[in-house]
This record gives sequence, C-alpha cells and structure tokens, in this order.
Amino acid sequence: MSESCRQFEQLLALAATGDFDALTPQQVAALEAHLNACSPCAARLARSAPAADVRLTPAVELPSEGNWEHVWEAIDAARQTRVRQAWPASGAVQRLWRPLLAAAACILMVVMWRSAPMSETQTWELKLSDNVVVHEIETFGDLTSLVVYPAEDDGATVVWFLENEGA
Amino acid sequence: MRFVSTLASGRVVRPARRVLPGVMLIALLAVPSEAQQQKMKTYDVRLLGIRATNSNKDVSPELKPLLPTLKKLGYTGFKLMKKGGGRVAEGKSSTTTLIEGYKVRVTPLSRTGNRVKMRIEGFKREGTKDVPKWNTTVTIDRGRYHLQVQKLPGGDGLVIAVTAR
Repeated sequence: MSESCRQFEQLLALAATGDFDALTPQQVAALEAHLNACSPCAARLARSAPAADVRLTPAVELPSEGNWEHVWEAIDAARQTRVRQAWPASGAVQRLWRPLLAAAACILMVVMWRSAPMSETQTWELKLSDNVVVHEIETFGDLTSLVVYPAEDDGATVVWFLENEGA
Repeated sequence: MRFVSTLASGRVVRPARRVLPGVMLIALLAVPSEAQQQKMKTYDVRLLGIRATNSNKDVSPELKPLLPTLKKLGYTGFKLMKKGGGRVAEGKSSTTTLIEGYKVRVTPLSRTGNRVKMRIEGFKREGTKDVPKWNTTVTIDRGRYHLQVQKLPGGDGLVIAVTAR
C-alpha cells in the first residue's frame, strides 16, 4: 500500500459503509480521482461494498398482486354504486342511449319515407300515355266536354272542357 | 333489462353489436320494394298545371318533351305554373290548387299491370266554395301523362297533365 493509499484509507472505509454524508464534496472528488488511478483501492472498495438488495430490504411486507386486485375491485364497485345512487336517471340514459338512438333513427326513416314529398330530383320521364281509355265524363253547370282522339300514332287523347257559347 | 353483459368467456358484449342487426333489419323493412308498394296499393301521383296562351311563344324548358303535342292544342306559348301530386293510397286523393281559382283532385282507383285507372275532378273557386266543374274517370299507361284542357276566360287555356304509377 502506497503513501497516497494510506491517506484515502479512512475515506474508503466511509465509502464502503455507504456513509457519503460524512464526506465533503472535495473529499468525494479526491476519492473518485484516486479510485480511477488506483486499481487495488478500487478493487478493495468493490469487495467491501455491501449488496444493494441487502441494504434495501423493506421494513414491512408489500401487498401481493392479489391484494392489489381486490382493492381495485372494491374501489370500482364503490364508485359504480355511488354513481347509480346519486344519478339513477342519468345512469339509465347512459345505458339506453344507443338503443334509443337506433330506435329514433328507424322511426325517423319510416316517417320520412311515409311523408316525403316528391323531390325535384325524382323526375319522371315526361311522356304522354299512348293509350287512354275514357270511362266516364261528367260536367257541371254550363260546361261541355269534348274528347279529341289522336290520329294514327300522332298526338294523344285530350279531354277538353268548354264553356257553352250561349252561357 | 341489461344492455351490457359479460359472457362466460369474459368478453363484454357491447350494446351496439346487439342492436345493429335489428337496426339494419328495420331499415330494410322501412324501404319498400316494388312488390311491397304493389301490395300496399300506394300510388305516386304527379300533376302539372300549364297556362297555354297565344299572346306569346314562350315555352317552359321542362315542357319541351311535350311540346309537339301541346302545339296541336292551338296555342303558341306554354308556361308551367304548378307542380303537384304526392304519394297516396288507393281510393285516396291528391289535390292541387292551380291558377284562376281552379283546383284538381286526382284519385287513383286501381292498378292492373302497366295500367292505372284514376278519377280526375276539377273544381273552381266561386266565392267561398269550390264548385265542381268536371269529373272524369280514365285509364292510362302507368307513369305516362294524360292531358285535359279547360278553356279560360280571355282565350287562354289551363292544361292539366296528370299521371300516376
């Protein structure tokens, strides 16, 4: 052991026990520099340092996974019970909103289908009927009717209503 | 009634997955097929009210397909004044108010193959009453128009084009 090693012996002893609070920052820096330069001292410190898990042994027993699971289940159950008790109607709405929405959509579709007026886009082909059968014509007052049938493949059957000349 | 449930396997069944097939089924039922329409005996009625005149040669663009026939009525100008109609059940009426106090009521009576039988009634407003003027029953090709013309005071004509399907 060299002279310099002897000078660091006390500091190494403190470091080996993990009592770094007893060292000043200058002593820590000097010890670090020495350990970087002196491999025997570094090896000695490594051998003497206690295992970390030994020093960190918990003072009390930690809860197991099962214990945690049980605690979380109890918390969830308590929260759900409180929400139901405080807002029973709100809970029902939350549970029913999807079926209610679906039912409302269906009813809306049926109503729209039943009551929808003819849209302008649903245009029909504007063609006249080639074959019109007039079953009955009745006029009231001074009106006279006249049915004009088309010539062969030319025009369409037209029913005229005319006021009487003498009226 | 529970809308959220957990199966024995632990899988949570969402309400949307339960409801969705039902919604789709109802939607399919809500859209009537051609066969269903036939069975329910509903009709789509269309009516056009056209003022025919000799005071001009203006023709509404929508009436161009009918123009060759309309010209044979003895008029030069044709203006589309009113569109009417709607979906009605058999025996029920669709009424459209036209010009000069005239009103037309269309009642589909029956449908056989490609033919539709319907009643067309004309009324004229006189004072506070709609006075019946004519009542016709015709059978036409389904979806094809039938023309009736009412001469108006002053020489113009009220052309009524009616169809149903």
